[in-house]
Amino acid sequence: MDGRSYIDAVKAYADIVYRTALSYTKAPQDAEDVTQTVFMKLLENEDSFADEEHLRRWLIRVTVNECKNLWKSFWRRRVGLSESEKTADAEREDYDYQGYTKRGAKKGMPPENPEFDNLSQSELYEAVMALPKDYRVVVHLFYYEEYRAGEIAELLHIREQTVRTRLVRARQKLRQRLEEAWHDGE
Amino acid sequence: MENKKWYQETFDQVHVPDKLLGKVMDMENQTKAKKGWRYAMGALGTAFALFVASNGICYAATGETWVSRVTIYFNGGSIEKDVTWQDNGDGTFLGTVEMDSDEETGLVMFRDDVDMTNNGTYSFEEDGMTADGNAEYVSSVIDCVVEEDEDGSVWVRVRVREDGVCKAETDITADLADGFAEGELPCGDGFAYHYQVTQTEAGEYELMLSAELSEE
Repeated sequence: MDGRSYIDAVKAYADIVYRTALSYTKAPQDAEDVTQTVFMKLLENEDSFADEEHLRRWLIRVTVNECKNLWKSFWRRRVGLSESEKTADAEREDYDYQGYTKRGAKKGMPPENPEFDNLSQSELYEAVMALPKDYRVVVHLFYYEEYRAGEIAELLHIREQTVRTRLVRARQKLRQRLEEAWHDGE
Repeated sequence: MENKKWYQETFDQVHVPDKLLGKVMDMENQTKAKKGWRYAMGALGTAFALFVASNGICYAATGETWVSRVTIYFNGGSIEKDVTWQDNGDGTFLGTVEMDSDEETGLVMFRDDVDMTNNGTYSFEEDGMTADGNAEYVSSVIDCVVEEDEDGSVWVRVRVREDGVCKAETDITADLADGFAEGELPCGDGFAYHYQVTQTEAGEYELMLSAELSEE
């Protein structure tokens, strides 16, 4: 990819790649690593893209693959799956966002997680991040990127029915956690 | 508020950090610089390979195995090691590194993207992680996943990453009844894949996958 297209692509899609990676890994540091790797692959990519949507899907697909790679890496398998998630969860418990303090907040350490305008947004973020990872990425692609179940199935290499099942289960969990604030059936 | 709107307004506030954005944009310049470096390393690599050949180890041009120098980053530090590469004849390569006893043993890497004409320095970054026992880099052309089917059955499947075609699968539903399943998954690609699946209390599946050259 030539320099100008690359810079344009970074400006247009860096947030999309980062958000997708974060929704999969839920650890900001991992999401940053994945984002860097994805754009390195874009830089090395010699194929052309038919249009913006083609590029967008390619980036999301590579992002998900890189997230899976992160998971499969030996050290992550041995220590990461349990340790980094526990650490991330523990930190998430210790912090809250934008002054919504929880028990045991650590002093002097900046929160790793994004800051939100209001409590309902931080609650939704927490609820989404508490979902199993396979549900998180499906939920993100559906609600944020506005892909349909069939398109998500294509992006993730899974069956459309599996996407629908995960969406249903994810909604149930979000409903349990967020109660009336989360409306069923959307 | 609609769920979708709520979700979008929430994640609209998640942005790639500025520092990372700058780094990603700058990667273009770094890549240009790196091309020259790669060329230089190629020359060094050839010299190194000849040295190895004189010590009785086959060189890529004449045999099925060859050696290259790699820098492996782990435990917050780095070490340089000789890697013995083997061409598996199916487009994949197996690299093995002998580790000293105080470095733990048996770091094994699979790479299918090794440039055989450029035996330079390869870097494998795993910052902050601990290496112990045997480690494998699984081929980047396949995905191994645990999937739940509609009927509730649970499968370990190996798929070709590019097209999603399933190369091998096994039903682990019964094995997983006690929360753990383990077994071999032959894929006909020269490797024997050994999987261990653990179901967590949260209902997620943790997959450990290792691969060895198959004797078949």
